[in-house]
Amino acid sequence: MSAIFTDFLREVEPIRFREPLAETLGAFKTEKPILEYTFIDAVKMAGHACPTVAGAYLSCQQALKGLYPDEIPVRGEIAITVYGEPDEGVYGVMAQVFSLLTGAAAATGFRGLGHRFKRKDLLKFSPQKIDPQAMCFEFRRLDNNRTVLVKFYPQQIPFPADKARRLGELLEGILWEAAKKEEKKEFQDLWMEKVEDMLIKRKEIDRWLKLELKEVSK
Amino acid sequence: MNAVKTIDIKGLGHGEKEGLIFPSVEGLAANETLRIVVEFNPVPLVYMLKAQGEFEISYEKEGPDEWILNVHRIAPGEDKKEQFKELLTELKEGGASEETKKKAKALLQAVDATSLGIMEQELIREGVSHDEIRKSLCDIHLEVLRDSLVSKRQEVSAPHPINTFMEEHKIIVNSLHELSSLVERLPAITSLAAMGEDREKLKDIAHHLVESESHHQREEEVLFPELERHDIVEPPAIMKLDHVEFRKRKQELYQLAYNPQDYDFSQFKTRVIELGEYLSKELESHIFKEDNILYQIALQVLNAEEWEKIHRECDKVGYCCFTPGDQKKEEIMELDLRAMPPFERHEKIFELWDALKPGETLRITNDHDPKPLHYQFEAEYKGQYQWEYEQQGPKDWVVKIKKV
Repeated sequence: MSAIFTDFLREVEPIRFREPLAETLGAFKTEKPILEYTFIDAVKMAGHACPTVAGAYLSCQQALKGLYPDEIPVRGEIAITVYGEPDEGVYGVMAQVFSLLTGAAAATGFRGLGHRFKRKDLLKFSPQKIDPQAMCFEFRRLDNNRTVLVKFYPQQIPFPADKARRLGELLEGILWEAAKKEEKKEFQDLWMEKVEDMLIKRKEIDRWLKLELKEVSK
Repeated sequence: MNAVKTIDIKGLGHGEKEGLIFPSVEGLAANETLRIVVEFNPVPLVYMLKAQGEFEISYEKEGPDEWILNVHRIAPGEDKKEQFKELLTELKEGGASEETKKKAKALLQAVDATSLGIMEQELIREGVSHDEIRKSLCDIHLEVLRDSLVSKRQEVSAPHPINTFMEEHKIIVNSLHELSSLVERLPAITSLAAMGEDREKLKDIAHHLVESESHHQREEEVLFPELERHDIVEPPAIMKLDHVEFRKRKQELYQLAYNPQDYDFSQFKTRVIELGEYLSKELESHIFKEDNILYQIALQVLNAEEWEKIHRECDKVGYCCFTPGDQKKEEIMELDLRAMPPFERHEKIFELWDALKPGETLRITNDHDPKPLHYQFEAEYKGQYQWEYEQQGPKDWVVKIKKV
């Protein structure tokens, strides 16, 4: 199935999890297997690949590396605060990717079985702005309160200005279905070039994706 | 019957006042007037009654220790609605004959824009289709009431969302006039090459027309839902149907303008003329209805808080490339230079600067005063930029550089 996707999308490093809820309810053949979530899963959920979906995937992946340096992350045991409103810019879209990957959900999430496996309200939105230049997301482990703050600076992602301008020019023809075949191809290549730069080449990633490990508070 | 009733509610408690006012207002028949005598200016009541669109409100006396408010029920009575239904049937059967127009004029002049909108809404709820209203009654309004509607029109200043919508309308109408002139020249032209400058002009007009999509989007996603919350449902629904029709035709015109070689020239010409004539006539008439009826209803019904919200939501949707600059939210590109090696900074700044469109701003954050950069702008872009410090040290400097 994933063979239908552009090659580099399949090369993105997957994120591995344990999923205790599925383990408990018998969805697996073996005990405590490792689940893999790929960038293609995020593309299927969002319906497209773009710098926002790529930024969300990488934000989550890097945050989990910070939260679980020597362990496999556990779905459903991570709380996320999105420092933005659900309908502000692309915060909502990024939150959906976090939800897909970690299981943390907003008001529509699973209420849990007894005192366990609650996913509802693990994902929250806060209008507070921590850094005016960045989109900020906080990931917190429920078992030990270890917390990572991710700062994502979309404007700092390197992409030549002439290519950005060309993308804008081509977009109108695409949307009004007047673009020629070669223009469609040019548009798609440019669009994917930026996504590939982010996901595979990780060009200057330290400039546009920063992590702060916060002190554990008991 | 033009009966007048009076209630004197001076000195009564809040609950007692309401207990007298609302049943009395509710009980007013068409053309009856209620005089309310009260010891303060009942502003909230006035707004509430105006918002209902069924009353004419006037002050008979304004203070200092007594206010008398006259509430006159002007809602179109069943008789007027019946007359409108008859008019619709006549329009459907015989078109807009001189006699029908005369009758329509007399009928329509008796009501204001808000009552008219509400009456249309009631007719639709009683089974008259949107399309019938759209094609006949709406158009007859325009024909017979153009001058009177314009003279009663309320204007608001920037950055009120209605001002933005109306300013955008003026620019769209200019494009439509250009389209109309181009369409008039087209029949005499025999080939694509002979179109000369008109080929580029057609592309430019088509580009402007598709750019106006964010104008429709702001109406559909922000303004109309607010009106619907006030039970003004049908007028926005009619406007949305118009948008669908325009969208299809704008798309075809855009495709013709940008890919004329894909068509046989006579076929190209016929389609451009047909689409051009339709859009010039119908879109301009749609704009007139919005400026003079729909927006006027909105101005009467929505309060200051709701307009604030509409403004914020419109900013989120975005504006057209031609929206006047003082109406739209400032488009700002951020650049934090602090973590960047010094030798890369100027190159990055000018890369982003080149990508800015006029009216857009680059905001840079730096760890020292970027004075040399200011000199460079003065030397290379004099008259094309505005320089404004937002913060001047001691640790960080923030400068907004706007392309003008």
